[in-house]
Amino acid sequence: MINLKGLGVAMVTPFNADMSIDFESLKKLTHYLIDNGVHYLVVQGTTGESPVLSEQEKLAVLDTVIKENAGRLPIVYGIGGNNTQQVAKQLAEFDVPGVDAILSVSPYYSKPTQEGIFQHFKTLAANSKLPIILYNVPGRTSSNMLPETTLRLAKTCENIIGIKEACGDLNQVMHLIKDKPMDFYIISGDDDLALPFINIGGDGVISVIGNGLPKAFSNMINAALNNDIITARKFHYQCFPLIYHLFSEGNPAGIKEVLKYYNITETTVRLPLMNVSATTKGKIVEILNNL
Amino acid sequence: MKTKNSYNPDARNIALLPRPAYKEVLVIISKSEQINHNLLHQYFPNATFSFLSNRTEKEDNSKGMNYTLHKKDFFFKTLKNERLKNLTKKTFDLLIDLNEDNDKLIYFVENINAGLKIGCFNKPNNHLYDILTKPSLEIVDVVNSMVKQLDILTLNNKK
Repeated sequence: MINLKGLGVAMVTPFNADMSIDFESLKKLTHYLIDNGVHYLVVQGTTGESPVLSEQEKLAVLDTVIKENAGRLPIVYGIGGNNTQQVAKQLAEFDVPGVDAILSVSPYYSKPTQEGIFQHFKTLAANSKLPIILYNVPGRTSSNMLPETTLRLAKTCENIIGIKEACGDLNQVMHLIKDKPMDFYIISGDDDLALPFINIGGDGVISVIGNGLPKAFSNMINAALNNDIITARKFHYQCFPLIYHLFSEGNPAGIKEVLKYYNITETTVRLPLMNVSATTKGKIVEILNNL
Repeated sequence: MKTKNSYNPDARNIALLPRPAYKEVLVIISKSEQINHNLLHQYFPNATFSFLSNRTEKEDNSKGMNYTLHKKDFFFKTLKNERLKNLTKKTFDLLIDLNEDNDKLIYFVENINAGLKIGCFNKPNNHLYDILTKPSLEIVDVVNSMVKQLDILTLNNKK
């Protein structure tokens, strides 16, 4: 079974100036993450700008990461949506060796009931050959998957193995951790809450900042998982000022500025995202200069 | 701490069928007088119904398809009543749990083999059910809501 303890990075998709995929930078990014202590790679989450990539492009990105990874780290691939039948069909047909699990976002926009969310994921689980990680991000989906629903899925669907929880509410997370099955992963979807999340019993984080600062962030996660709170806190506050600016003008526009600073990718994003303003860029660069 | 899949309904063959296809249906309810037989027969025209409810008298005088549970039918967590033991060995196409308050009845939801198990939210052990619906003061509303959800899921499943 895939080990999801530690730091997973939701990888960005680098683009050339003409908006085509920059595969050379993607290769560079893959090695950068593997060489700097990341525990697993997440390909085509929303940080990878999956809504603006064609199916063919997504699979080309996945293929590149699988080849560069060469089996070193587990790979999680994003397949989700708010059309249950369509996502179920995608999952049933998905057969790419080298992928260890699927990350699937809770249905967005439609605002389904808790029973609707349960039946959605139950249908996906029945159609997927791979283990599924749920993704709850109410700030983006406009509906919160409550702990009762997550726990019901955890207990009834064998191949639902964890949740990326980005509800932003540690109280909700504690309800999950208290009653979860032992081998069900609870993973933070928020970089700024990763440390407190692990302190209350979480398993790690699927991170955005980890694209740019994999070493510092994996040091923080490792220290937190080893109950070395002093070290964890040191790295947490080192990364913390940057996190706000990464998301202030849309993700992954912010993190692409960090990757540009480290000469890994260009800053190009596809519409409707825009590059960050000069002010935000200035703040990001200033923080990175002082790290 | 519970291990994942200590209860695994995937091990069951979950049967989402058009309503006329359900033949054997078990209804669990707090008090037998709450049952609206006409409504159930209207929704499941080809079904034979069994009912499980609570009783206050110690002796079990239930007959036929009616089963009753007294708190003394359990010795700690072990079921002693032979008639109820036989019930747990039966197989149903559908189990409808309309019970609101007796936590002992949950034993039967967990242990009876049914193709589909429907219940209400706000219960412990939500994971035992394949479909959950909103609780309501009126049993009729709960049944209506359950049937509506069942129809939607059956149609989606067919698609």
